[in-house]
Amino acid sequence: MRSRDGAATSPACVHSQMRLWCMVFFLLSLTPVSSVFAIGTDAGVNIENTATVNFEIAGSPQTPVVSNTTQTRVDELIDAVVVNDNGGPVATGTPDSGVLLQFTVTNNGNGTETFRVVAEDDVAEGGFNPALNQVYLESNGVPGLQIGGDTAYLPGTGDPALAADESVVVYIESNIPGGLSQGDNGDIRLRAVAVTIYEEESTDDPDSAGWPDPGVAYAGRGDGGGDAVVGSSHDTSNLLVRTTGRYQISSAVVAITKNATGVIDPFGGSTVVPGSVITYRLEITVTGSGTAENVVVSDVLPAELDYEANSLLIDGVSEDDDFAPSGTDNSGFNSGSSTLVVDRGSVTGGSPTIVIEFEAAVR
Amino acid sequence: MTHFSKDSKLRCNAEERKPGTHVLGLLLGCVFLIGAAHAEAQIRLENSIKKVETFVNAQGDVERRLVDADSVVPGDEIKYTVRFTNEGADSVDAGTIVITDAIPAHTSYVDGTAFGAGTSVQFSVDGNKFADASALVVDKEGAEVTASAEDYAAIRWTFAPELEPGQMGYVSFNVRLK
Repeated sequence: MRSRDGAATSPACVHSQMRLWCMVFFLLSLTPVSSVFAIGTDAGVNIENTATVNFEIAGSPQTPVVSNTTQTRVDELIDAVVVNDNGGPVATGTPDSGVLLQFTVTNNGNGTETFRVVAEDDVAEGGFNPALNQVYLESNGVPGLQIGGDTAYLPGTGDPALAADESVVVYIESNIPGGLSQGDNGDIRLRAVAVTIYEEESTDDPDSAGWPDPGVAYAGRGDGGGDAVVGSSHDTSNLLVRTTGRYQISSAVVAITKNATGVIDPFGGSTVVPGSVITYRLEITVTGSGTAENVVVSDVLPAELDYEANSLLIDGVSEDDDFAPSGTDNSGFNSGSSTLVVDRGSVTGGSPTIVIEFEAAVR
Repeated sequence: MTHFSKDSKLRCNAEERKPGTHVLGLLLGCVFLIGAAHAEAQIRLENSIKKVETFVNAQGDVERRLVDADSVVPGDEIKYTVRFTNEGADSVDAGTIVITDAIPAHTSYVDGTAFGAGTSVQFSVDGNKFADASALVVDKEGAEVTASAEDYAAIRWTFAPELEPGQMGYVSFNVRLK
């Protein structure tokens, strides 16, 4: 991972007793997960094959003979994957409004397909039902939801058309009821169904009897002129076209950011080369009316970075690298796991932002 | 009988363009020459394509069967079968029938599927140089390693026996659509 100034860095994590979550802090790079499902040959491509034979008769080489050319057309495979981008439950108050979940819908098929994106807020899995307010599709190129910039979406109007391997980020904006308890969960379930399936089967519900099995083909409905074939992501025993995101009531919400604030290279400049020393700054803010207990910040340094001994500063105060009992507390640098750990214990909502700074050298 | 037929074809074409030639004479000439040309295509080569379908039979076992391959989707396995028939009057020399087939674009060879009774099989990673699978190397990140099935660009079968008039044989291989 690279920060904006090119410095090598790593994601940092906060653990608290109320929840365990880990975020990648460069929110600008909060992009869809890398495609682990390789897409195949484009729909409509013609696969040809011709064989050749060379031979001799009575010791004389003959003119080679070629076979007929076989042809077969590549059909469109309809496949999609919906991913929950939140990395865990999203903390919310009770009541609360305008709380966001983020999902990414990726066309894992081999042709262009239009998808109907459907969000449900009455999923029995959670403890309470969030009140879904609005679905938005990322459309202005600026990461994160900008109301007025990104497109408010209703299924059936402006369904996103995605080329093979193309993704769209979906934001779910919900209101949270009042009177809930700490730790209560509320789920939003999101699915992306190819309009081809919706039109052919008159359903977009994987739980309905009309939902097609993988392998079902729709003659002539494929991108490129061939058939459209339902892919394995629609298998109800391993459904990839639907996933769930979760809100969790938390009276204290922990947020963290990480930045590289300075680079000094061995020549006195600020390029990132072996030997350069990078200063990192982590800011942890706890908001809300409650207390976040057992707040532990950990940052695993990647192999290309060496922690600079005794460079740790907490709220501007130098902190030694040892852990208790040899140190003064449970903060320091664990060289065995290459992990910087800062234990802040209980932090009440509204406390001043905790600032952690340290330096690391590029190998 | 062996080499002149190609020239005959050319001559036939040339006569067609010559003005004033009697039509019947031209047709007769061409019929005669086509007869001669037929000897050139001593071997007929027929290529066919099938899709390998996996299914669960009534006993619950997974089986494979060949079905028509009018269209395919990524991940499908395709079987090509190339049949060679001696349609001439002369025997084709032993060890001289060499069938070459390129792995089609967008597909990769399925390891262990190249088959042909009485043939020895070699592979190529560039379509020019052929060698036994174990002797074929590719450069991967600066190191020479034994080529794997996905690296193959073409297959070559050498048929050992003599092929007498009317006799036929076949070779086959499978690929998977990327």
